Amino acid sequence: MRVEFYLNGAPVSLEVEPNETLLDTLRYRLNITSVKRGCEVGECGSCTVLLDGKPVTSCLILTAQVSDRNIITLEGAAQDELIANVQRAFLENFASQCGFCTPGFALTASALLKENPEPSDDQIKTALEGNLCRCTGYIPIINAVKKTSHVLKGVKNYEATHD
Amino acid sequence: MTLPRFEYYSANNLNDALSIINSYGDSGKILAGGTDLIVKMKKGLLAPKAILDVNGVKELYNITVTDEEIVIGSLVRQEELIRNKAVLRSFPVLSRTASLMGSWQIRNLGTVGGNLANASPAADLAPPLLVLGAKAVVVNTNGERSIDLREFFRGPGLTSMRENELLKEVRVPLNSADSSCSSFVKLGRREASNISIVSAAVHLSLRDNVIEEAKIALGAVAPTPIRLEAVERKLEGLSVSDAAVYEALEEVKDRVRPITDLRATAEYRKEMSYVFAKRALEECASEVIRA
Repeated sequence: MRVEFYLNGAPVSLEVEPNETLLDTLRYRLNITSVKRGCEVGECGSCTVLLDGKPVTSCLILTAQVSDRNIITLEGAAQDELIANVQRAFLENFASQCGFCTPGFALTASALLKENPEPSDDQIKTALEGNLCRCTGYIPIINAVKKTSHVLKGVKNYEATHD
Repeated sequence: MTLPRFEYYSANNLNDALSIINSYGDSGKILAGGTDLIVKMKKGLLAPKAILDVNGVKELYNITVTDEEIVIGSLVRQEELIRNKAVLRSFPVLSRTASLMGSWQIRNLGTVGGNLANASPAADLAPPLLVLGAKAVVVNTNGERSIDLREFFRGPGLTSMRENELLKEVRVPLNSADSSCSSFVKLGRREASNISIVSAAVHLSLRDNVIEEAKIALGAVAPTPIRLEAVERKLEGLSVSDAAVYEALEEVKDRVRPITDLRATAEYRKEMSYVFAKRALEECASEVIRA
């Protein structure tokens, strides 16, 4: 069946099988490899994408369901300053070890910061509940989200005031 | 994990959805949020001949408030319950409950209707909706009917819906009592992505700290979410601070029929059903006494 949607702002039109998940379409037809195949049952968050701006697990969505909708993956950082800021903060704060969970975390964090540019620690933790890191690097991840928040506020000397 | 093959249909309005459901009956499965259906299909527990995607049916997304009730469409996402102003104002317990379900990603997909229609004994929205006196409105090509939520759940995965019916909305009556409270608490093994071991909801109407009306519902301790009407009758007329309240609540343990599964033993669930009913009642009462 033919499905048309927007991927990181660009229109996509392709033939898919009805039983194909968005995760598989993105990875294997469109070569969007930031979207990771983890638990495949919605528990780990490594396949997170933004569907019309909201974080969702792409392993639980049929590609057939996303007709005319907007999908953002971490590759969208090229067009989205906020996602790019989050990505940079993850790098600078060593918020990544093996990196498998990182794209999912970065997208969920971007969605949080978009609606709440100054989240509290608890709000950050709650928002990221659906993303698991098995290197257990949660503290640097939370710090990266806080740092992005400061960058968004224009506070450039975050390190000097917060370490 | 690969999904089994199926025929896929999507409907853009209620009439189309109902006629597709009618033609497939039990061999088709309705796709709403997919957080349960897709997982079960991946695990090989379900292999429907057809998937009937109802996400295009706009009229199932509404939350409307009248003088008597709030109507929550079956496709309202669980995350929306947390954010919707009408829900927050009239039934903060539903927002609170939704905030304890799944994760942000899952709540953005999972629906109110799916949580109920799957009829999991552990469905978190069931206990609060049961104590609030909610009704499920179901519809087929012949028309609508309303089912008291107490009559809706029939067993694990079983409801009183007929095979050609679709859950359209949930109607929750607005409370007219001057002093009332509702609460929801749950026990799980962690804080997020958490299937309840025991969940409890309480709704009280009070006058001068005396319980005029009590409603208690528990989840995950019987084949369906249950109301405990015998216990409710014993609570009515007692002062919330009376020690007799705890004696009455002890009977909760005799009314539940828990099983042992990978999350907890039946014995533990039985004890915790009392503990969580008590906590729900205390949380509810403290809300009114503070205010």
